[in-house]
Amino acid sequence: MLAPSLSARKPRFRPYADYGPTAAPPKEVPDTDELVNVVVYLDSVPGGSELPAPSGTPTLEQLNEHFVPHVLPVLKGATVEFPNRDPVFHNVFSLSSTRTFDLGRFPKGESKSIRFPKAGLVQVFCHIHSDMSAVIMVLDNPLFAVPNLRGHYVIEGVPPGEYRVVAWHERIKPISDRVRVTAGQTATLDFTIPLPAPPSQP
Amino acid sequence: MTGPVTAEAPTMGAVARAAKALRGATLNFKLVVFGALLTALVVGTAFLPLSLVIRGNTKRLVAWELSQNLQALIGLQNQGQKQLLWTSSVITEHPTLRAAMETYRLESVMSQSPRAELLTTIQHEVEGIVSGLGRDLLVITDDHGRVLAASERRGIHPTVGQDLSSMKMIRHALDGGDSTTSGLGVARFGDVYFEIGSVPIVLRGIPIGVLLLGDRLDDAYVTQLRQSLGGALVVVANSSQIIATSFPTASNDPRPFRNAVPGDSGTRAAVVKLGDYEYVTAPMTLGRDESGDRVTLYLLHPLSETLGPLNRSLLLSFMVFGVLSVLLAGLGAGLVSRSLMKPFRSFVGFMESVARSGDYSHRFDARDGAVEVQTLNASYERLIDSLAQKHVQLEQRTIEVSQANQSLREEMRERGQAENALRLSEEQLRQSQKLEAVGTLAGGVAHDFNNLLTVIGSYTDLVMAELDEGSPLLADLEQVRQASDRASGLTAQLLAFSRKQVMQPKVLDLSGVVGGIEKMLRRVIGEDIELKTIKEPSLLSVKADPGQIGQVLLNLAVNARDAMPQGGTLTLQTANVELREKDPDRNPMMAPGRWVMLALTDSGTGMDEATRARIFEPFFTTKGPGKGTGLGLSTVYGIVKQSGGFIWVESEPGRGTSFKVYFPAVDEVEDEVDWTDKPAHATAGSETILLVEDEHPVRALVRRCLERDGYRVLEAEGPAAALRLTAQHDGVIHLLLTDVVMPQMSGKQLAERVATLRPNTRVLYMSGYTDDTVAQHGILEEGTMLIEKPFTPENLAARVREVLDAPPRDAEPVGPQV
Repeated sequence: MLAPSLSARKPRFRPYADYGPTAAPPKEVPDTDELVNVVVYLDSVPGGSELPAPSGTPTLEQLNEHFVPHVLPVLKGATVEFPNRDPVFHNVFSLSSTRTFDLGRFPKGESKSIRFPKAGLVQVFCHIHSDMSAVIMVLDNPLFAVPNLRGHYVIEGVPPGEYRVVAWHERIKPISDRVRVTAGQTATLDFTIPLPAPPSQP
Repeated sequence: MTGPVTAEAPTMGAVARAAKALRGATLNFKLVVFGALLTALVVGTAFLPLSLVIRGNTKRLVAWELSQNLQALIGLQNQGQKQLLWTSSVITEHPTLRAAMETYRLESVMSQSPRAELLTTIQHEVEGIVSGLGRDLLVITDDHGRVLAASERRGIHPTVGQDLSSMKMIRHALDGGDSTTSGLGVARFGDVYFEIGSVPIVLRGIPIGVLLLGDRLDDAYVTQLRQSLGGALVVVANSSQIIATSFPTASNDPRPFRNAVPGDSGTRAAVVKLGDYEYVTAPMTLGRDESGDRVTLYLLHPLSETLGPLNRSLLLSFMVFGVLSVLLAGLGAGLVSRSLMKPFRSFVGFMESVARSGDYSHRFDARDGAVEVQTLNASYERLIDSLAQKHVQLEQRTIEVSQANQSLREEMRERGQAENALRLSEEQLRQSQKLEAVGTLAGGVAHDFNNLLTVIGSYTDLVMAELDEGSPLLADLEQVRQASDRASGLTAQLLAFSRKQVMQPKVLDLSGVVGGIEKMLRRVIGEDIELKTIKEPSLLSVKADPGQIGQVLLNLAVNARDAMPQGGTLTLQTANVELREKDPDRNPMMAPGRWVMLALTDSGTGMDEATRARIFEPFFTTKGPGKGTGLGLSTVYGIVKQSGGFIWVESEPGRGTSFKVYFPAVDEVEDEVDWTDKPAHATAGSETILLVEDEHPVRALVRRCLERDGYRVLEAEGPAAALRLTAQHDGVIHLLLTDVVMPQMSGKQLAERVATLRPNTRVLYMSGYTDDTVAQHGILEEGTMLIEKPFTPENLAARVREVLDAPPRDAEPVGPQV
């Protein structure tokens, strides 16, 4: 089980404009939910695809003209639902090579879905609302996790062995580290991720 | 260089002539010209600052107008920029563009080889946008400033993949700065400048790239602005390049704009000169490109165009005003000058009247005149006083000078007369000397001849006396006798000419002499010639030998007769002549005083100058051979000279001849002259006679004659022998018969010596020739007895007897002392 704590902060990251460089906010308080856009996954797990898939259907909602969540890791072969929860039309399309699609426009209440048979990154946009974007990370194995708002993540069910663990965020190059997982024990791996500036406006 | 010189020469000449003419002009004219020139100068001087002020005001006005335009332009610019940013922002909303960009970005992050079709998609979108916008340039960069896509109307744009992160605008956009202020600027791609607005492309609040939207800064850009602003616009980059201009035929020379760079304090109006026109400019900085070069937009308004009509009307009014001023000034100066000159003019008139009248006492009334006129008048009066004084002095001097001049002329005249007299004297002296020389020669010859003739004649007489009455020899001897007599006549004339004739002067009345000889003269001149006599009744006396006077008259009458072969008139005149000291007509050789004139004037043929000059020369004659001796006038001359007189002849051919003889007048009582022939005296005697004669033949002849007449003769060959005989002779010596001229002693001296020994001895001189000392005085002593050679024995006997028989002199005993 991995229980990393993500405490990546860039010094210039300032939620309040008037704060000087030395007046950085305290570390305990999470500054952003950008941490939730990080995906930590185990790379190249032999027989990983045979591991049991996560339960439930991965869903990418269109809510308040945002794709929620922004980053959605899914297991290869999964079908993702795109329900429209807003009172306006939305469109879902992707130009990514992993899975290029355009689900067309659909109103509130409707939902479109599509299966991602190939591992890779798929960026999703809305033709109607250009600021809407999401990344669907299609992974080969189900050993992945998204940190919570405090930066903790947990990956369970990892077979013992030595693995390369990758921390991904759309703005940075993936960070990888190695971890040895012993059966019945929890391995801990911390990442420091230099996240870019958060969105200046909500 | 000769060109300009020659070209300027006439101008200079004209100026010099004008200046010269002005110098000579009246004061009035000068004042008028001066006033006019001064006014013209003032008007001209006033025109300049006024023109400058107008120009400045116009410039300010135009500048204000321009600043208004500039404000409008800035407003337009802001509007345009807002539009640009707005448009840019709208473009960034383009979903496909964003999707492609974000996809591309993520692929770039995840792998080294993002798909090219994503870029193609972006480029495709960009071109679609540009073609729909009407903008010139659109550039899309990624979040690192690298160019993802670009499009430009003419293809001038940054290339794909080019890193523009150094551009301030892009950095600013990526840093999330305020796009409204700093997102605008100027950028240069290639050679083209663009006005650019830049906006970040933000996805979910995070910049994923930058969009640049811009317009070319070119002629079309400024032309479009000009349509809404008017005037002219020029865009200059870095003060070194004109990149846009609204002038149709623009100059590419950016130099005029260097002085019109907008300052930090804002814009300011400046004047630039483009070609022949001046423009007021309002510059506005559009921005600086990446190399920091300033790109400036200039709003231009033509100053000349605005000033032109204004200046024309100004110039016209100034010209009208100027000409009027000059005329008025000239008129005013003329009036002032007239009023100034008026008293002077009246003063000048007064002075002219004084000059005309010459009345120095006249005075000008200057009491009513100005101080200057009074001063002038006072000076004038002093001048006039001094002038009057000088005038008096001058008159005195003039009189003195004229007197001096008069006396000088007098002196010159006298000197001229003296010179004339001197010349005449010299002439006469020369003539006299010539005649003197001839006379001396002739006298010498005559003297010897006389002796010879005395011998010849005397012996002839003696022989004839010896011969019988019927002797045939008598006729022959008579011929000898006559020839001898004629020869004696000739020698007598020669002696007369040479003034060696023995003279026996008496105090005479010439009228009487003329009267006495008149009858004889009538015989001589013949019946064809009328003789007139004009005799001065109260004629003064002269002292002369009456025989000689007769000779003179006779010779002159003969001469006159010969000059009148066809007859005529001979006028004989006597007159008194008084010559005064300063008589200009006086002959210079004649001393002033009283003279007696004897004039013979004929109406004959006259003679020329050459003849007249020689008539007194002996043997000069105009008569034919054998008709005259040439001695007549010579004799006259000699006699006159011997008598102390003068003879002048006036003659012209065909108009007769006049001889004028002058004798000095004397106050003595006249002697009696007996013109009748005397009876023959007794010639014989027995007295003792001392004969002194150095010439032997003569001595022998005389002795023979005297002894024939019964006298006793003591013979001496010279004075020494004579004195010896006088001392030794025992008996009485009654008479000393002596030659006058002898070698040792003159006859006179001898007579004086003898007289000391024998005072009672009488003296008879023999002479054919008076010696120089005697001749110099011209006269022998009174009472001296003389017998002239040649003489005949009868003459001698008569003369001796006469002397012996004469009564004894008062103081002297007659008889012999012993």
